[in-house]
This record gives sequence, structure tokens and C-alpha cells, in this order.
Amino acid sequence: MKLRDRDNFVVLGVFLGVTALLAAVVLAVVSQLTAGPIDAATQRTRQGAFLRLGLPEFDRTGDDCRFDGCLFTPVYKNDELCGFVGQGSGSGYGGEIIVLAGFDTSSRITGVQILQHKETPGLGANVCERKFQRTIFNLAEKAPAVPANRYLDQFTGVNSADYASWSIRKDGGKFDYMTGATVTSRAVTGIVADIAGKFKAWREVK
Amino acid sequence: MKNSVFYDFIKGIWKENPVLVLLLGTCPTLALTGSAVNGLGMGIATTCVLAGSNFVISLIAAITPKKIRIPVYIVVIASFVTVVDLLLQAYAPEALYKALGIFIPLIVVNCIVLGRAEAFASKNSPLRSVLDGLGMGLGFTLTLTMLGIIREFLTSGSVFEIKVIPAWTVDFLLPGAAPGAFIIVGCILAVKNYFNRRAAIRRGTLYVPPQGLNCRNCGICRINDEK
Repeated sequence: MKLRDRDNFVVLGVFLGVTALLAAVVLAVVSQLTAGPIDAATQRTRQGAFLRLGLPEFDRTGDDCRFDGCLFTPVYKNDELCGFVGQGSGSGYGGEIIVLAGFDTSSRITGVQILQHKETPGLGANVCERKFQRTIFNLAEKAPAVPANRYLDQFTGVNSADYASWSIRKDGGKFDYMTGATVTSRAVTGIVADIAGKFKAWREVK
Repeated sequence: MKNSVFYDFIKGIWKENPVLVLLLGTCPTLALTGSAVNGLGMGIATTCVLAGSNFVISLIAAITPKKIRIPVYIVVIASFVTVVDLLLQAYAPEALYKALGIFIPLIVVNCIVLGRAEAFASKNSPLRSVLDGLGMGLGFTLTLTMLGIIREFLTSGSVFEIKVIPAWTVDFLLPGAAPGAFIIVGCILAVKNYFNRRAAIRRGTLYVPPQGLNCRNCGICRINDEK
């Protein structure tokens, strides 16, 4: 066993170790450098979604407040409280679903958006995504800022105090579900109900 | 012609197309071509990583001991992909990351990248390796986009998310799901082989796959002979 031999297992091990170490150093440096910008980008995405929740016009968001697994953010216009955004999550068919719900000051839901999901394209994803359907006849039309989604729009206008009947029709509730995507529909309804329930509790505590 | 730099670039598009001839990268091909946009996104992301990893690997190939080159290449490729992912997440516009982001981590397991590192980049100059990466990536992108267009049209009558047949309101799920992808890729391969065979018969020869595809070119079986 000579150390000069390139097939010596010690040399091989050290070479592989050094390669892995170099890769780890590069990754650590890049990860450190990008941590800040990535945080900012995520926050920007979230703030962007706030604007599509049908809330009354606002110019400032307050501090996030964590409550029992949900995240509540008050929004203000001219320093006057004009609504809340609730964020909750749960598991759907393909992984975690993160839901944002807007509330006005009388606890009515103003709109629901899905921030993140991993549902099946063509089935569960249809429940979660707001997408403007382009056809060859409306190519030039401008897409609306908040494209309609028959399923998500059901929650708009529901008061969070009305907590008892929050499930899909199949389970005896009052919300329609999408055929072929029952699991996702059930999950989203459950998450929105969860946010609404916690919102009610949070407001009573405050 | 065969040894020119131009051929390194052009061969990936048809002659040695990674999907249709080498049958590499079947996993993203089947899983991510449900729509034309997805196919295009995956293709572009892979092309960038392929060119970059080919470049790095052609530089380090000479000093890498033969026996551990595969793990070393995997470390290089995985680090490269992670760096690209982090950079895109941090600095790319939101829409771009939303469109490409889900594909980036999947590239690590794309065997085209490792396949080209092993079969081409480790034996050729950096310039030729980058060209090979770009060409292979372009061939991959074109195939994936074509497959995406076919599958999206058969699923919902739309192309690039624009409904061409507005009356088509209920999705036909088979072509959009994995079994449909298998069937469609199989049909495309059959058509391609039919034309290759017909061309060969017209020339009066048997169809011979390109030399580079020979299994022995990979070299794994010959490690002990080289001592």
C-alpha cells in the first residue's frame, strides 16, 4: 500500500472528503448570502397576496400575531383598523396547503387565497388555483386581478361566527366540493374553518 | 463534420436526442410534461444546469481519481443545482421563480446531467462540454415542449394555457396523467423508429445507433483494465 498509488483507499477517501467539504463550504456561503433576500422575497409574495383578498383598501400592515397555529395580521388605513388577514395550514392530498383568508372588521370573510399547495394538477389544483381561462376569443383581454374560482369564492361573505356548518356537502355541511377533488376540497374547507374559528377566539381574547 | 465543434452542439437535438434516442431523463419527461409551459420550464432549467455542470466537470475530470468519479460528479451537480435554486429564489422575479422553482430540485435526479458528465464532459475540453450541454439541453427542451403541447391539447384542448377549442370544458384526464404520458412517449418512439428504419432500408443498410451510445463507451466496466 503506497500513498502515491491513486487507487489507495485512503487517498480516495480524502479526495471525496475534500470535495464534499468544498461543496459544503460553497453551499454554506451561498445559503448565508441569500437568506436575507429569500426572506424578503417570501414576504413580498405574501404581501402581494394580501392585495388580492378583497379587503377594504389599506396602506399599512400591522405586526403578525401568532395564535394557536394560525397567523393573524391586522391591516390599517390612515392608522385606522380596517381588516385582518389570517393564515393557516393543513395537509391536503399531496402535501401542505397554506391558506390566506381576509376578514373585515365585522369578522366577515372578504376573500380566500391559497398561498402554497402541492395538489394534483388538473384535479386538486383546480380547487386551489385562481386562473383566468384564456381562449382564442379573449386573447387580448386583460386578466382580472383576482380570477374567479367557484370553489374558493363560496367563502366570501361568510361570517366567521357561523362556525357550525363549516364542512362540505358530502359531510353534511353547506359548501360545494369539486368532483374528483373531494380530499382537497375537504382540506381547504377545514383550513378556512380552522382560521375562522381561531380568528373568533383570537378577537375575543384581544 | 462528426468531430467539429458544431456537431457537439447540434447532435443533441435529433441524432442523439436525450429523450428519444438515449432514453435518458424519462422521469421528468413523464412527470412534468402535463402542460406545455411545464415542459418548457423544465427544459430551460435543465439546460442551464447541464451547461454549467458539464463545464465544471470537464475542468475537474483530469484530477478526479477514476474509482470515485461518480460520487464526486454527483456532489458537484447537486451543489450546482442547490446554488442555482437559492440564487433564483433570492434574486429572480417572483413570476419566474414561481414558474421554474418547482423544477430546479428535480434536476439533481435527472440522469441526463450525470449521463453527459460521464459520457462526454469527463473526456472533452470545457468548450466542447458546454456546447454539448447546451445542445443536449435544447434537444431535451424541444422534446419536452412538444410532448407538453400534445398532452395539454389532448387533456383540455388548450395550448400554452390558451383554449383552442372553447367548447372543451371537461378535462380528459388520461393524457395528462402518467399512464397517458407512457402511451404518448411510446407512440412517438414508434413513429421515430419507423422513419429511421425506412430511411435505413432506402439506403440499403441496417439502422445503426450512433457510436457514442454504445454501452462500453461509459467506461465503468473497464476501470480495472486501465491499470
